Amino acid sequence: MPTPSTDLLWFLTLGFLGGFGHCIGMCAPFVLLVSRRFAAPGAGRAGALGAQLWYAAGRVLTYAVLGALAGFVGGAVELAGSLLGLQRAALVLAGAVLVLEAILGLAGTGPLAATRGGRLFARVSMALGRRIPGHPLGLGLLLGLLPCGLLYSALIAAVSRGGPLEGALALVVFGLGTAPALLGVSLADDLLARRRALLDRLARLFLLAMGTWFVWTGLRG
Amino acid sequence: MRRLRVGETVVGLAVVVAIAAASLAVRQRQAARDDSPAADVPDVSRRDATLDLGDLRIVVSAGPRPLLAFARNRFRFRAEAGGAPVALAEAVVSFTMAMPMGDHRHALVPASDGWQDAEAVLPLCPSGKRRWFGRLDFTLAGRPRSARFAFDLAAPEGRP
Repeated sequence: MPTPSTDLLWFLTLGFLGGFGHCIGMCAPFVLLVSRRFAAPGAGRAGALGAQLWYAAGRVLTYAVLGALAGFVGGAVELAGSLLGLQRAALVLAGAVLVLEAILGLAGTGPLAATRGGRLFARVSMALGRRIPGHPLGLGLLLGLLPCGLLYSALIAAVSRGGPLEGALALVVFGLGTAPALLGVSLADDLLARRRALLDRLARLFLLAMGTWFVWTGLRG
Repeated sequence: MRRLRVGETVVGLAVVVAIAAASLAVRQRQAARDDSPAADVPDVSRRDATLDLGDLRIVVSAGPRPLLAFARNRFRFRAEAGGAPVALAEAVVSFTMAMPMGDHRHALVPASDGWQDAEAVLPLCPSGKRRWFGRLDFTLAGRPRSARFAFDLAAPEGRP
């Protein structure tokens, strides 16, 4: 019977299918952010891939910790109760990072960039931009905390695994399962948008819109 | 250089199409299971409901109410045909919502007084959507049957 069981393949399937059905909608902006923030256009495809792998590693590590907690606490209710506040804060922070990254990219372009106000805006943006984690692993560790229904499903199933190590392993497998979809988004972005000025600007507008939405969702509760 | 750019664009578009196709396939997989219009589905959020399958009536009970995310919710089913209780064979209840939330399927186990139960812990959708759908699949007289119901899942305490 395919109930949420202790089968690791179940977690891999959940991550893999959920990656395409769920994650590419919610996490695509973060994939674009990682490529733009941590891989210079001249770094080539390997640079973007490397950044994405670090980001994925950070995310999976956070999932592992959450899985261990689920296995340790042994109850989804208790875990959810203690995590929801933290996750809401992470959502606001992540949204702010997206907005900031979008503004940083847009600030240096367009006719307003050459004006005094535009230059001041760019300077302030740059100063704020230094607050963004300096490595994709750090960003992945933070963004692994984002509230996510699919992640909750994995955690609920991990509770039944019966221990911290088993829970952590299940969530690692789940996290790895989500990676192909997100790496696919990164590849498409690299081939189509990242090195084309107009499409890159559109991508940053997308980051701006999603970031604003994340901040609003997080603050709304 | 230009040829390389065209090649990249073609491959990039192919990757986009592949991702979109995979995403669509995953969502279709869920949609195929949710085949009746949401408006026609009995709601068990506040009171028990009866699923009328023509020759068969199934009473669905859920509790404790309000049904909460991350809590143990019990779903109970009792089937009757011609006024006599009927045991549903190979009965499985599965839960879905508008957002893909993974695989939430639970086998029913026999309980007292002809009821068959399943206990489910369901996640909260961060987007704020609260509507969930349950689908009961079972076999009766060797024939696979199914019935659907709906319910709202409230956020756990401390969440609006």
